[in-house]
Amino acid sequence: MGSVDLDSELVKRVQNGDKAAFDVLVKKYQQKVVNLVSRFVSDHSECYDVAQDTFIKAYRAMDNFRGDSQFYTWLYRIAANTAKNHLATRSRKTPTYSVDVEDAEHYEGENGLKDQTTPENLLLTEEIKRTVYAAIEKLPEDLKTAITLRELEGLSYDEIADVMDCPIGTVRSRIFRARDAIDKELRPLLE
Amino acid sequence: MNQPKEKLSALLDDFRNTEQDNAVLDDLLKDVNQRYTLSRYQLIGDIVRNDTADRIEPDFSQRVMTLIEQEPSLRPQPEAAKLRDQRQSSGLWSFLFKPVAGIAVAATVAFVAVSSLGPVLSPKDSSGQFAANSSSLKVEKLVSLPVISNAVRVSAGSASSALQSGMNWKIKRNEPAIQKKLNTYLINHNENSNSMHGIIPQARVVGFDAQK
Repeated sequence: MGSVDLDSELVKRVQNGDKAAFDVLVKKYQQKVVNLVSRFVSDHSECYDVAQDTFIKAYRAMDNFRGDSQFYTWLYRIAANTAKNHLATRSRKTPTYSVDVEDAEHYEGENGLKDQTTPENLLLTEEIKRTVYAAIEKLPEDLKTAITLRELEGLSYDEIADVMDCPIGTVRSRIFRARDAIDKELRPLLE
Repeated sequence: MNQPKEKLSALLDDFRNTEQDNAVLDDLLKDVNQRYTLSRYQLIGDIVRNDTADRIEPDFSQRVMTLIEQEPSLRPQPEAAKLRDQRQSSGLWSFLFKPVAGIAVAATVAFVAVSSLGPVLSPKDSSGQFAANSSSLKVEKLVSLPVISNAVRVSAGSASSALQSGMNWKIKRNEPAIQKKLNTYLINHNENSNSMHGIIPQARVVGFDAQK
């Protein structure tokens, strides 16, 4: 709910000429978009190129976005179409399967055909994920519960407050402290 | 909730479009370091939900924004927008200029058409009736063309009567001579056309009969 409202506000600011607002949208949705594109495009380097094209197209079309759908639905549609066009243009293997844009996020097919020949990046990715999971394991129980309910279960602050039987301010604080602790471990890998 | 990072964390999850939230958002948009912090917070959530691709490129958003910086801003320049608004709001502008411009364009096109096509269609005619005369010439030329076999001539008189009826190209079909000529055209066409690839017609089975 809050995230959706933030998207609307960011879109409005982009439409008013604020490019930094688009930077926030890219940072928010980059992983999801690349993940979606990778369902269609098997080569990892091409995945990021297609994801990049997706964001450029989204920026150019942003003035036409009227908010009839959620921003991420609109963005995912652009990503799916860009990936399909990429496959058609390159005349590579056309998908023998049909994936609806609504289901594409959950589609797990064709993984065996993905390019696995980027050991440095794979190592970095594995290290990032391992660091995050290890940092979560080290968290005190109340922080771990709060961040898990928020990120994994998608509960709102009000709902987490109900589940954990604490004030909403405490929920905010616990989620922040959990993120901050994980971030302290993660940051050196990304700089 | 005093620390800027705590406000940032809450903004990501629980934006309520209040004045306070918008102030935090303003700070975020001004500070690139805050945006990188937000990016890492977002990445933590993506990893927990397994929303990441098989390979993470940490500088991806920077790459995209380098290209976005080269794109024109979505909002037009204030001066241009102001001028456009002034024009759109001016009733006199739209009321007078648009019809005058339309008439001027139409007159120019008509003049060019008359001056360039007139001499071609009717080189000896200066009376301004070149259109009707050229149609008459076309009909006379058509009826005088020889047919490869069994040629039938149609008099120019019958073509002229068709013209006088106002139907320039609707020739009287019921006249036997016209029927015969049309039939000949049709048979010749079928024999010479490429519509039957690789097949030689063995019998003449196609004909034209105005009675049917």
